[in-house]
Amino acid sequence: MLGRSEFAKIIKIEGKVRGSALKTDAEYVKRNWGADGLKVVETDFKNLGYPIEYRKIKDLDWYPVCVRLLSLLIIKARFNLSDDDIESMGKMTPKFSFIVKFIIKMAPTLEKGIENIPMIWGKHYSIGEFEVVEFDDKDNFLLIRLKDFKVHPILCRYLTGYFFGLLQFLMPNENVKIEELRCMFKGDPYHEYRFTWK
Amino acid sequence: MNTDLPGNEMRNNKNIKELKEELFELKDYINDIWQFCPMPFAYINIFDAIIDISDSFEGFLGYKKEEVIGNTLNKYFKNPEDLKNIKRLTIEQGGLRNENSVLVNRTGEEIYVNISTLLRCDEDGNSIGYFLAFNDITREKRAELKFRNIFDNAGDAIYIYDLDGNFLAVNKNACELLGYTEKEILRLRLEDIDADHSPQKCQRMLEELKKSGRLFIESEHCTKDGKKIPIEFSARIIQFDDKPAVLSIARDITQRKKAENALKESEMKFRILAEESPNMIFINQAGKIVYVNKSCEKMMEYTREEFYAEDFDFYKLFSPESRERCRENFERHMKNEEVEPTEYTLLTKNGNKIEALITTRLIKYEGKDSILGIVTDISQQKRIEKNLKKSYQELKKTTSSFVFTMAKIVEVRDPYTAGHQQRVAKLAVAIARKLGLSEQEIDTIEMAALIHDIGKLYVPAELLNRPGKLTDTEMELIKTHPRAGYDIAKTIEFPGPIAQIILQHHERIDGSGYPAGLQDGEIILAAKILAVADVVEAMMSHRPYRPARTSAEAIEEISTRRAVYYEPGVVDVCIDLFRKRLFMFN
Repeated sequence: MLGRSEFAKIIKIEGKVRGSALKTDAEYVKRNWGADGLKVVETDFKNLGYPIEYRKIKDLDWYPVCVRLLSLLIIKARFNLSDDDIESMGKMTPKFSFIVKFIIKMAPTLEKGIENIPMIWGKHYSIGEFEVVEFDDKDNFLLIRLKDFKVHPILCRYLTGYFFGLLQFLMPNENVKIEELRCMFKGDPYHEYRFTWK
Repeated sequence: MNTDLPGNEMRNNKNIKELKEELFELKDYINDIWQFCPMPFAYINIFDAIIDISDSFEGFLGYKKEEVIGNTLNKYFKNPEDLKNIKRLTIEQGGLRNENSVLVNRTGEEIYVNISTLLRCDEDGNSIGYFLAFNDITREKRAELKFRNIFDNAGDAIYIYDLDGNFLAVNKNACELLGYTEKEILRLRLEDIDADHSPQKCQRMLEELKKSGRLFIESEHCTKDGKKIPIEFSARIIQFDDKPAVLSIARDITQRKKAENALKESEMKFRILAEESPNMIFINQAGKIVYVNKSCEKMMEYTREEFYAEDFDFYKLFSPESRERCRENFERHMKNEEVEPTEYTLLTKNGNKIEALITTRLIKYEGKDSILGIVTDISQQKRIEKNLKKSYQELKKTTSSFVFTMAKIVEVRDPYTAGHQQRVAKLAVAIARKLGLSEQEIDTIEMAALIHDIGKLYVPAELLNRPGKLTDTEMELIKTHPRAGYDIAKTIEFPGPIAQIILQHHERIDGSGYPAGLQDGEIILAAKILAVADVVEAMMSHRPYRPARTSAEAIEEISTRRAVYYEPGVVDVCIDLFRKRLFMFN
């Protein structure tokens, strides 16, 4: 379980996250471990002295970004999830996100859809700058960059899955591959992800 | 004015808050629809990715939301081309209603659906995705497929056509029967497949159907290559696609017609055989005549109408003394018992008698138990038999007179044996009768006995009449008489083995007799009877060389020689006749 000192560090992280992002965690837990699983997670929150009730979270309201992080860390610890599981959880998130689906379905073209991805980020997080560095539809290549978002390493794998899930909406018939080329926790100035597909 | 600004801001802030609340209410309302609508539906973006599915979609195809969302919907279609067409048409038309397709669920089961779609566009009018609602029609489709399966695999040709004779549906058998493809038939009219190609005929049939609701006829169809096929055709009015139509079932009866014709031909052949038979042939069903041939009419002098009349009494064809026998035999037939050919006296209409031998059999005629009778007129045979019997009696009388005369000749030469042959004959006949021999056999034995010593004509008379013991040579001479008698008798055509009986009447079953020394199995029964009668009578008669013995002595003698010289059965009968005083010599 999360140690007191780590918890103390986490709650000091600045920034906000939309309730929609937290609710997808709840959906993931409910789907895998049922309502009882979710209650256990909520109890863990409570035990940390930071009580959260997922059902009361509103999609469009802003919450401290530490809740996002705590939610992931508690779920990972409680259900003994691997890094791959965290990536899978990230992949599932867009599928249950009201905001993602709302924005993604507005795209009439692939280009427009790619252009909307930074907007999706902005709708979810108050920190971090999301940028589409390069998109080449002919060479099947997309490079995205996330700056100023050094929150916790668990989010690197989570976001890898998350971005994959987003892109799946735009190219469901393609065999998409994603790779984190640069990482702020490895000393890089930003996070950088490369997508390729056939 | 500036003063308005704070108020406006407040109003604007309030409006934003209210709008946000309304937006959330709307979101919840939409969420409720996605969660609780029983009809499965999905939203697909323009890239074919499933953006969202209703909760009912999970149960519908058996996949979880997280497995489905983000995937392409293509993979759930049996034929992925269907979705491409649906998308194209949705974009072209803004939406679709009730487009048929087939999905495949998690377990690989086919789900038949009616799909309705609604196109979504952005504010610039660009297509951005579409809703798909799925109406599960699997049950109806399976029922339809089941019907179609039955329809196509029915053994008969099935057509459905409207009341103007335009074909609406046909099964595979109909196509095979007529040699057309389904598409070709659906372009035809009823008269096109009718052998007469007569619109009037078809119109009449349709009119009749409209009146009565159903029809059952035999007709002919014409195939694509012009061949005519006999068919059995049933039709009835049904509702097809909510309109009255005719359901017709046509059965190719070519083979049946061939069989019927073959049967008719065969029946004709047998009818000719029966009709032209010189024998009378009839079929009786429960006491009534249901068939008679020409010979019955001719010989019994009744017409067929009279025979077949309801009140015709079958048994009046029989003489009173034959009727009961006929009834009994017919009853035995009905109990499935075998009945031997039986002689009856028949009575013609004019009272003439016909002696008949009737062979009867239990048969099925028109599905019912019946008696087939074949009558042979044996009147002439009976007359011949009668004449023969008369001739035989006359011949027998003549023969008897002849035999009697011959016997007398012997007795004239041998007075001591006078009457011996007659008495032997009487005893032999009594034994034979007691043994149960036929009258003809008894007659033969009697005649043989009457002349059994005829061979003694060749023995010198002084030897026959001389008292005292005979020498061996004289005895040998006496012993020639059976052979001599045989030689005389064999020249005469007697009705029976008279010569042989005479020849063997001194043979003994132990082989000690003469002239041939035959043994038991070689001596005929008649000769064995004659041997016993001869010895008994001889002992009981006076002879020049000894006095007459008593019957007790004679019985003693044959008892002693029983099964040695004489046949035991014959001896027993003979003893019985004397002991019970059933026979006595005069």
